[in-house]
Amino acid sequence: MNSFGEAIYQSWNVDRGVFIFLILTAWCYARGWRRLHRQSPQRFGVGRLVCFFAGLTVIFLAIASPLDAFASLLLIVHMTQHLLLTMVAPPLILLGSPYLPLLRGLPPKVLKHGAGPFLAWPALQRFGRFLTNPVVCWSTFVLVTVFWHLPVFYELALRSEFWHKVEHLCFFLFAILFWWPVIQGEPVGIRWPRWTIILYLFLADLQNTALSAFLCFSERIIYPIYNSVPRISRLTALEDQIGAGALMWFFGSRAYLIPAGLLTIVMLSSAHAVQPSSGFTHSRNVPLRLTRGKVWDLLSIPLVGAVLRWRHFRRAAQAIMFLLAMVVIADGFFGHQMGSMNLAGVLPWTHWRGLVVITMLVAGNFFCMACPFMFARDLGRLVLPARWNWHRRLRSKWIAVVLLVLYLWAYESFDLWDSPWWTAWIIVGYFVASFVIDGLFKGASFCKYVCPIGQFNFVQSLISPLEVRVRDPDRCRSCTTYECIRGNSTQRGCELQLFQPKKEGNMDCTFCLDCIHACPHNNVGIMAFVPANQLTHDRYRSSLGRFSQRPDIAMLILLLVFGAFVNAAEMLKPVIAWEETLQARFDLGSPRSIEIIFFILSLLVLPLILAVSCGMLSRFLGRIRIGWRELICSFAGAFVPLGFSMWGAHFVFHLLTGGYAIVPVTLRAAGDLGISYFGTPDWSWLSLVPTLDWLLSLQLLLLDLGFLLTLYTGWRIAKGYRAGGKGTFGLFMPWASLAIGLYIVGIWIVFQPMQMRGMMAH
Amino acid sequence: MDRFSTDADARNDGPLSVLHALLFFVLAAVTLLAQSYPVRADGGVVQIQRSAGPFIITVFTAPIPLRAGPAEISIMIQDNKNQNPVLDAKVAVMLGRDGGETIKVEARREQSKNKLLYAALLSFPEAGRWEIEVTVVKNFEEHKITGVMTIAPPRYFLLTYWWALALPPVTIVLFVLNQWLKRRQKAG
Repeated sequence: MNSFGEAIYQSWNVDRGVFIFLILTAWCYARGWRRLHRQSPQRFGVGRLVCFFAGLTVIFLAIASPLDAFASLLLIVHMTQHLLLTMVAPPLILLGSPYLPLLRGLPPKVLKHGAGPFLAWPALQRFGRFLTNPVVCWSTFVLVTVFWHLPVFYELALRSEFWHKVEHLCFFLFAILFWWPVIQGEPVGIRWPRWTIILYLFLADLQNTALSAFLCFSERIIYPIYNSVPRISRLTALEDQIGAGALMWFFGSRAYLIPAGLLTIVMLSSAHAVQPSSGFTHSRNVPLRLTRGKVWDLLSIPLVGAVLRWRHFRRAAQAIMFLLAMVVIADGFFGHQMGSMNLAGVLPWTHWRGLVVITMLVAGNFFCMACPFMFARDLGRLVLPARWNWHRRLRSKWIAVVLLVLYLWAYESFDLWDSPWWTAWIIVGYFVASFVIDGLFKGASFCKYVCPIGQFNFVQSLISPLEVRVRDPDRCRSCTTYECIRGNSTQRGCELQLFQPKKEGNMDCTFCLDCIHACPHNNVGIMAFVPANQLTHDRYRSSLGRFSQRPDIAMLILLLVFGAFVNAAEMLKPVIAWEETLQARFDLGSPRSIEIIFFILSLLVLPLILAVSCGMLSRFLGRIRIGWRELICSFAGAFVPLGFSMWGAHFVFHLLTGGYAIVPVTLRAAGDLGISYFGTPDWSWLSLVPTLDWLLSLQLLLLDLGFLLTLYTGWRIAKGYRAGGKGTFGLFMPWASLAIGLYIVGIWIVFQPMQMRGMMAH
Repeated sequence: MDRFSTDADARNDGPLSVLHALLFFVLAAVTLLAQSYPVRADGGVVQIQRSAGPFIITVFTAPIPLRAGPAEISIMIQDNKNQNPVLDAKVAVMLGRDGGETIKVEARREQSKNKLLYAALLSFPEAGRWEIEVTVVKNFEEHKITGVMTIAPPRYFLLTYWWALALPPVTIVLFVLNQWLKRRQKAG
């Protein structure tokens, strides 16, 4: 890369934001165009598609090619960039008639319920008509062009990245408006006689000529910044300016005069409308039919589906996790006892937790599918009788709630993340508990009523996009064998007693796929669904009943929501300092006492007080006769997204900042076993905190989305109670206030410096 | 009977569209993230331009104004005789404060958007006057220029992440408007 030309050629800079936006736009257009092309191939011909994509390509070239890199050094290059953005890209985009294809490219529900009311809003339609009035189009474009060519604003754009983007956006958007009457794009269509557009273009050319002449004939440098930058060509700053003016004059005039000439020819030959054969017609009567997409099934993906259906797939995944668990236990007991240098300190607390939330967000509860404790459970059933039924009074989530509180407290109080020995013991305890419980009791009592990890996964997977469910409900109606729940001679049915036709959402589903293998009609799949949608209604759920009648599930959800904030807050320096101050003030010898009080207050007392207050207030403001307990049970589910976002922001932080630790720790563990083939550990990796300036943005974005989804879910629940009538807002308001409070706490947490756990620099 | 309204579409809500919406959301999220980058290797504005031996050395800095926190320093080296860019030199940047911290970084063309420049990405720990020394080594000859730059205090974090804090209120306002329009259109 040492030649001048090569360096210029390689000066591409793809702005990820703009690039992704262009890709999204292209994808949306192509999707809509394909549908419209099927309906009306003449009106939406290939020509439109080509023009639209050419327009996007020109935008990409203007802002990502070396033109952008050298725009601040040469005015002539900057002018080329502007000409592409104002005179080439906009007409091409408009020739693609983008309005209908872009709308049809949106998901039908988003179009109907999201964009629909806005599109049908008379005020917005009036504003659209005003904006596309040729006088407005012409004058705004001219004003914007002159404005940004004034030295003070032109130099502002050159000095500031932000204003440079604003300048380009203005040029592009107002050029779209300018070319709108010329191309006569939809949905406005023809509004003025065609001859007026010839005048319109001539007047624009006059403006362009005046501006270019000013640049060409000025004897001083209009933009002094070009005088201070290094000259990379033989052109002086003044010659560069003259060149830019000439370019603007030459190409600008052609861009206006050629369409004007074409329009004149068309008018003179009495062809007032563009011929249909060209694919650029303007009939406006194609109905906007909204079609429902077919149900998407993960099992229908060729290779993935085959792998997931493979009878031994789950066992293979469990075997891998089991081996990892054994390695973690062995290293926890016998390896180095510093958490950041031991697999038991790194794998479960940094990697596994982070990967679980990411998997949950993009897919579903795949950890339970690969649960390593299945081996212990199956062994228990072989060795022990496994004949008793789980006691009726214990068939709830209360045991799991207690275990989760204990776990969250012990995690901080005993620094489990920094104690390989304790971590190993916890895993061993897990194996023993699953072995004993499922060895004595029928079904999957351990998973359903005891396992705290399972409960965490069940609750968080309520917002996952995938769910195990029936493909065709009609087929289930004619089924008489119910093998999905009863099983058959070769395959057991659902151990968690989830009857597929009555199953709603992911609660209690371990993604074991037993029902998929057992169904003789091949009628169960891993289907996509709207995340959190299942939380907005209160239908009967197989083996769970209605959420509104389950205080144990509500408590579990609230515990996991508040637990997310408490668990993250315990890592913050201000919180640790506050606890130390309290400890000193009340002369408590051990920090454990303060921690116990803090955890009882924040995980049990505070959620209960807040939930009861919200329930009562909600009942009062919503003027509803339903009891506050039921309201708490119903609205608790709305907080799952917010809790998930906090867990996500927390765990992803550890995964991305401490992920490197796995390399030296694995080398150390291998070295302990006498395997030195891969080299010796480089412990400096543990101090390596990558500069991820986007990490905070990611955390904030997660919190934003979780908060908004919580508000939306809460609103839907309230609307369900009041059928959208009077009192809906009152019913919703207390829960919205609680969500706002938690969101503010979450924002405060992510802006605080966190302990770098799993790393040397604690 | 269900207490809540039973959405007839709840079980068949067009999951294909849902996936598309999800893809849309993920890509939009990445777009937002990409927009939040505080520093890009753009070059910036000219801070210092000096001759040193056979070279003209120009130092660009970004962001504008230069603030404590992430920053980019780019250097263009030109031949004094014909002003051709020099593309095969080794460039080091040293920044220091009186009696304070010193930062040493290597400037490389790979880090620059404009491949005629040598760029270094670094972080100024504090505001104030910083001395800069640029060393250019070519053909075993070393040439240096020095200068002084003023670093402004860091941007208040709320301003840096304004988009993340503005997203919920803007979405809520749009949602309220959407609901109002729906109700109005239903009544009309």
